[in-house]
Formats: sequence, structure tokens, C-alpha cells
Amino acid sequence: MGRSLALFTYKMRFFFGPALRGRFGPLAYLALILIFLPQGYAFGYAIGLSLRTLDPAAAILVLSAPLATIFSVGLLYSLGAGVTAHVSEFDFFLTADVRPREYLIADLTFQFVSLLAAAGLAAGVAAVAMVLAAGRSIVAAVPLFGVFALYVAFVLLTSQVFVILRIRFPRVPVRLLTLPVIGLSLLPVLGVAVPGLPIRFDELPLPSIAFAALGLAVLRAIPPSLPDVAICFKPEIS
Amino acid sequence: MAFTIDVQQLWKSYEGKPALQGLFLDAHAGEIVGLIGPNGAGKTTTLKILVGLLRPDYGVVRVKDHDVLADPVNYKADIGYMPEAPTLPEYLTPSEFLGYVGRIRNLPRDRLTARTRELLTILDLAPKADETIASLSKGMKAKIAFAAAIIHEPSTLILDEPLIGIDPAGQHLLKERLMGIARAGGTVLVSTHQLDTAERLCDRVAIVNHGRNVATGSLESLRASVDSGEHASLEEIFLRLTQEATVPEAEAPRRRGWLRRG
Repeated sequence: MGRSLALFTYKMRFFFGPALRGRFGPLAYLALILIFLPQGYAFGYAIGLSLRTLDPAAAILVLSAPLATIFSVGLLYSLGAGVTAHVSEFDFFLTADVRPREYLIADLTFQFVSLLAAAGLAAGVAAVAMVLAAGRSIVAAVPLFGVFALYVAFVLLTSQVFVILRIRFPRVPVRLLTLPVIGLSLLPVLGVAVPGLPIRFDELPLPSIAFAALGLAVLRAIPPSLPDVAICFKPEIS
Repeated sequence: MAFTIDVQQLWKSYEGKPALQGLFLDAHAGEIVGLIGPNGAGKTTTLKILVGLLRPDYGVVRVKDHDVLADPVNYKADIGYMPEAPTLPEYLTPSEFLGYVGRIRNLPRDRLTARTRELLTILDLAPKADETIASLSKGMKAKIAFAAAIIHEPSTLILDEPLIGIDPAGQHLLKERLMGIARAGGTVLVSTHQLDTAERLCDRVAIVNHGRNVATGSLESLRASVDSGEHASLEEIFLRLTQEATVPEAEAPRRRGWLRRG
């Protein structure tokens, strides 16, 4: 654990070093984050308003479309290197007796924390706007944001599974197999873009649908369905 | 006497282009072995395979009797590696960077503090200890990379062009340290283009070209093998051997599975 922590803090300091030790300190990052707050609020409010009038199936589709996009971006990311290693990490850390799992823990934690640091505030503001537009108490934004954070963690883990599969089985065309999964993951977007297709998109066992159903349960203060919870917490089903 | 480093029949290609074609290499405890060869001879590839950054297509690689390919992690605890043209985290200070390397190398906190201070002092970096690496010269960065390679006092040191960019005084300092490590029973494998340095520093040299051995041995044995005079320099021997060795590309051995493990 000590090594994973050292690797994680190294990555954080390496990544944020130029900003923290630059002329303007962390202000540059802060400005970047703040730029996205109005968009986050507007996005959340628009979704929240649209959910007020939609039936549950359509509402789940609307909520799942951005989640499906995030999922496909995560899978696209897995087609590349899939890890955030700087050359110095290869030369000085991966030539030490660091175990793959130690590195993986550090890298995933870094990816999760840096993603939340970059987009978390905007996502939090979007969650607040969504619950306000849906007519719920602002406190409901907390579990809604929790569902989103859980989903981000799920996407990161899933993309890492593809990266590990690619490294572990170099002869299996994992990249090629990833492409149909990306296609499948985008089905909810198809459901929103082309209404009237004879497919019950909201009943597909896709992670984005399941997480969207959880989000809708939070927004409408109804208990979540067990199958949705099961899909959210059993990534292998997807 | 067992080899500390034992490489046999090493093959590696990049997108079909052979980098190593059946290379052999060995090093004992207490000696400094030089790996010399023209650009593209396969030196860096060999060193990267030894430290686990690359996997060979075929061959046997043992470090202190560990099969590197079968157990690619544990043997690294006692290895130090300095890459060619090291890329360092520009916005950390030398102290901070060495602190991270020491933590990754599992040095106890007290030992790490003392060792960092010791290395920065020895390598004449103490006045720059708290400045960002970005502000340091190329030679100073090379010294930091060297410090990172030896911070945990490894018994096997693998260095890729360690003297590039370092001033003469710094080079002298590094060579003294390397000889000290070898005298203490350590093994040093160093790739270099500086033949006069290799001649004075190394107990044996392995000359490689086109990913193959051209000759290996002490300076005396190399002189004898090429039938040059007893005062022939390593440079003369090197030029003669590498110019003579116009080796055609060979076909890699047929494999059952993807790797032979001795």
C-alpha cells in the first residue's frame, strides 16, 4: 500500500506540478474548472426539466445517453495506452520490484481523483441543477452525484479490464473486440436519437441504463429496482 | 563461478526489423563489463530487456540466477538502472524525486533521508537540492538519474550511456563510484560510445553489431583475437571488428510457444 500511495502522489505532483509551481499557481486550473460551471448548471437544469414530463422509460433513455457517451469514451481510451505513465515512471519505478497490482491501484486512483478534480465540480453543479429542476430538495444532489462518481469508477475499471486483457493475452485481438462493445454501449443514444425503433432500450442490461435507472430513482424519490442495482455492482454482466 | 548476468540467444525485433539476433552476454560479480557497438547495434534493447522494460522474442535472461522472463518482478529489487537521456519530472526538486525513488525502493524513512543527503553531497548537487529539476543543466540531470539508480545500493547496476552530458570532474566522480561498486563485489554493465572510457573503466567489453556479438573479452584478449599489436587501443580494435563484421540478417529460431526458457 505504501508504494501505491507513493506512486499515486508522484503522479499527482507530476501532473499538477506545472500548474502548482507555475507563475499563477493553481489559479489556471481553478479558472478552467470554473469555466465549465455554467455549462454544467445549464445541462443539469435542462435534463431535470425534461425528466419532469417524460415517462420512466423515456426518462431513463435521456439520462443514459450522456452516461453511454462517457462509457464509450472510456472504452476508446482503453484502445490506447490505457495507463498514465510518464517516461520517468518506466525508467525509475517500473525497473524496481513494483508489482503490477501496486501500479494498477495507484494509476486507477490517480485517474479517478484527477477526473473528479477536473470535472467533479461541474458534475456536482449539474446534479444540483437537475434535482432543483426536478422539484426535489437540494440534498438529493448528494446521492445523485454519488451515482455519477460510482459510474465514473465503473467506467475506469471496465476500460482497465480491456487494457489488462490486451497485455495479458497479446495474441487475442482485444482492440477489435472492444469495438462492438463500444457500439453496444451507444445503443441508448440511438434510442434517444431515433425514437420509435421497436426495441425496449430502457430494458437492455447495459450499465449506462442501469445507472440511469438508479439516477432516476434518486430524482423521483422511488426505490431503485434490484436488477438495476445488480447490474451496477456486477460489471461482468455487461 | 555463476554469472550475475547471463544472457543467451537473445532475439528481439521491432515490427519485423531485427534488433537482436542471438546475442550472448555475461557478467560476474566484481567486474565492470562494457557493452559497445555502433548506433543501432542493440545495446539499449539489451539493457531494457535486462531491466524488464522490454520482452525478448526469444532467449534466456538470468540475473543472479533468476529467470527474468519467468519471474519479472522480484529480481529487480537488487538492480539499479540509469537510462540513456533520462527524462525526469521537471517540476520536482532533486530531493523530492530521490525521495519518491527511495520510497518505491522501500528504503526506511531515516535511511532515505540520510542517503538522499549523502548522494546529493557526493554528486555535488547539494546546492541545487531544493531547486526544480527544470532549472538544472543536462549534466546535473544525468547525475540525479545516477543517484536514483544507486539510491538503494543495488549489487547489479545497468547503465545506458551514463557519462553523456556530464563534465569531466563529474565523469571522474561517476567512474570512481562504479569502480567502488565493483570492488565491493557488485556487477556493473555499462553501455557506452566512449571507447577510451570503456578501455580504462571496464574489465571486459562485449562488442556488438547488428544485434550480434562481434567479440567479448578483456582488452588483452581482444588484441590477441584480432592479431593487433600489444599497444592497439580499444578504438582500433572496435573499428576493425565492426568494419569486418558485415553480418547478414539471420532468421530467428523456430519457436514452440513464444519463448524458450533455458
